Amino acid sequence: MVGLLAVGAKARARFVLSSSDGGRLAPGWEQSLAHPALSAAGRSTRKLESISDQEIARLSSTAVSLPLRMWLSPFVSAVEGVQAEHLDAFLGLALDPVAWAHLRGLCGEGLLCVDERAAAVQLAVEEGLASAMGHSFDVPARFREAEEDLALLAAEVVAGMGPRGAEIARGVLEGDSTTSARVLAVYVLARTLPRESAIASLLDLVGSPGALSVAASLELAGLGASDLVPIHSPGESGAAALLVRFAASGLESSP
Amino acid sequence: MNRAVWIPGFVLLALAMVGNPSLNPDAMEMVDVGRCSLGLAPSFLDCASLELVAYPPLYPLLSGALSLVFGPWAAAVAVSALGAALLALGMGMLAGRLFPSALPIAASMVVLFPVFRFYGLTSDPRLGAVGLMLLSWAILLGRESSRSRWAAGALAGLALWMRPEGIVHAAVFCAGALVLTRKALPAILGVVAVAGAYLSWLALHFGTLSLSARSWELKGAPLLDLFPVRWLIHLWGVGATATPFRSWLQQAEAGPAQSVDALASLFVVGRIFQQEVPLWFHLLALAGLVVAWRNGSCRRTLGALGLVSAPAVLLALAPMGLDLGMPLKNLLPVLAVEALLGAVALAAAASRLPGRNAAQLGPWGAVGGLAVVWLPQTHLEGKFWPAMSPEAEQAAAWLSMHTPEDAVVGATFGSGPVVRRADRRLSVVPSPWEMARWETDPPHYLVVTGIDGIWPLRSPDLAFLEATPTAFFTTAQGWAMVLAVR
Repeated sequence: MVGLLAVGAKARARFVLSSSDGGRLAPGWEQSLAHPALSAAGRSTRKLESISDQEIARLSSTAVSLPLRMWLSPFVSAVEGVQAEHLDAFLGLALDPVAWAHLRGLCGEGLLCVDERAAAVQLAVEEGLASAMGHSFDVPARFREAEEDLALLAAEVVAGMGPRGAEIARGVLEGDSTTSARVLAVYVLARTLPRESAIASLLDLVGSPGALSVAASLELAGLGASDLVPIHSPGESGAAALLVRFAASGLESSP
Repeated sequence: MNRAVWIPGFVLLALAMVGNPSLNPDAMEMVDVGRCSLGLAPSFLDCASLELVAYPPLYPLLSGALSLVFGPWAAAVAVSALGAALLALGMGMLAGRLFPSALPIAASMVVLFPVFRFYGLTSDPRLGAVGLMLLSWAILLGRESSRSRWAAGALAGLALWMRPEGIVHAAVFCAGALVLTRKALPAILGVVAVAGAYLSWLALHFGTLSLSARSWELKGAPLLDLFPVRWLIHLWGVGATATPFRSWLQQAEAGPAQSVDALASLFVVGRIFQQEVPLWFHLLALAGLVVAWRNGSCRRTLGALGLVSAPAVLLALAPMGLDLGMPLKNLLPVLAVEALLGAVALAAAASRLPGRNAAQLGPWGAVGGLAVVWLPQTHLEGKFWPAMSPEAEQAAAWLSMHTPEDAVVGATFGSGPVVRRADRRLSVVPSPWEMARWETDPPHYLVVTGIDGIWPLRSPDLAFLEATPTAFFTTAQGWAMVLAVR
């Protein structure tokens, strides 16, 4: 089972680090690099302000896992004016709020600084992320670990987008997405909405059939509202029903 | 048997010389279980959080006992190396039955073939279990006395003490003994005595008949259709660290059997063998099969080899039978049989060489050739494995030097070896829904490695932890970061 954890690890590591140049941290981590322990370890540290736009774009491109980049590329390339050679930079920036905000602050001219295009890219990326959350579920459950990483990573990225992430998740829930994409959307909702709104939204989903009710129950328990979980969810039996009862118990160890 | 007596010593010595030992996260738990069971646990180890029956007991008890001499981590590796020695003995003896001069080649393959070398030094009980399987057949087919047959059965039963799938081997061994030998009763009694003792212990513990300490995992299998695998790993945990939902599953009624797409599973197994093992290795095994078949007098041995490898393929059809992260780990019996047959092919080829000393030197020439091809290779070529990576070692050394002895260090189960190498108390990262535990009782440090990816760094669930990156170690292979929690 432990080997499951290794799947996709190398690709995911790229999200934070570019190891090819000896381990530089991705944008957003520049302050942490100033720690004495890291200096002692011989790591070069620089403030983001001293790094050029091109370098930011290059670093940002390494900040997106390879599978997610490959998945999102067609969405971004559909945006008028985005050249293939700029795809990675756009994706990296669109997915990294720190680098994006910084670059927007520096903007004067250039491809990355056109407002309309930036908005179009952002929309395309969001569409791609919603689509990626539903990836892998035509594969039998036992064989989908690697593909699942992509969907989970997309969900994590969306969950990191705050209120906009909640809107994307709502779109997934209301559309005709796969059940698994909707399960991930529940995960995102619980992490992007204010607690009270999240609980209200999850209570609406608890009555849904299948995986959605189980996911909503778990999220309610995670938000400390396990007393709101109905012990007998509709259509659940076996291990799924057990999981709902586990959530209703407040995630406690005694059945 | 006498011709093979040198094998275990040779394998242990050779592995010590060529190997790169590493810690498997499961083994960390198993050593701790052994130390707690034997009353040898150090003060920082929380025995109450360990589930002492989660693993078959042989590996935990052996490594726990050896930890008195070697320390816990070296003991964990030593027991898996002993397992590799058992495997070499079993392979050598069975190969010797098929073609006498194949014995040294088959035994050497355990040291030379990168997959066996990896599992022999990665603190894992699997090679030991496969070794017991092969050895039980070698003794059953090679000796006529009732005592030997009983011993063969006992060894087959002992495989269940090493790995949960040993139950399948024990059953297949009994059936095979009835078909392939005339006086099977002593062998079956040996199996019943040894395997029965373990099953009785389990029944006493659970208060009901149970064929495996991991039955909860099978009971949770239907959830695979609902949730991502990673979430489920989080929910019911890996290793022996007790997690609440596992306790719920443990007490659940067994559900209806899951429908299995056998064809899809077999296709995946075929793809694993095609991608992870070179084609010439399979061809060599095929040639060995032809040589042994034409030999004519070894049909029983070939039958036994089939009975060792077929269950491994069948187990791949079970819900948890395949691990795509480490795809060969549950197919090692098939690889062992293939290696054994490959040794037969090489020995047969060497025997045809001209020259007066060719018969004696030929097999060793084959061993030398395999060494040239295989020794420079590693099983996890280009893959990140934090338990053996230099940056993880550096992070462990940093933790050990710069943190107080009573510091609690958070890490995922996969990155746990870094914490345990530093002899610090490990607090496994809770599931996304159980993070409140850390809100009330946060760790002092957090270790993140490339195997975790960015999840612990970006997860909104961990946003409450004010964690400052404090030390960072990286190579082209991977990275490890230590964060201090305020």
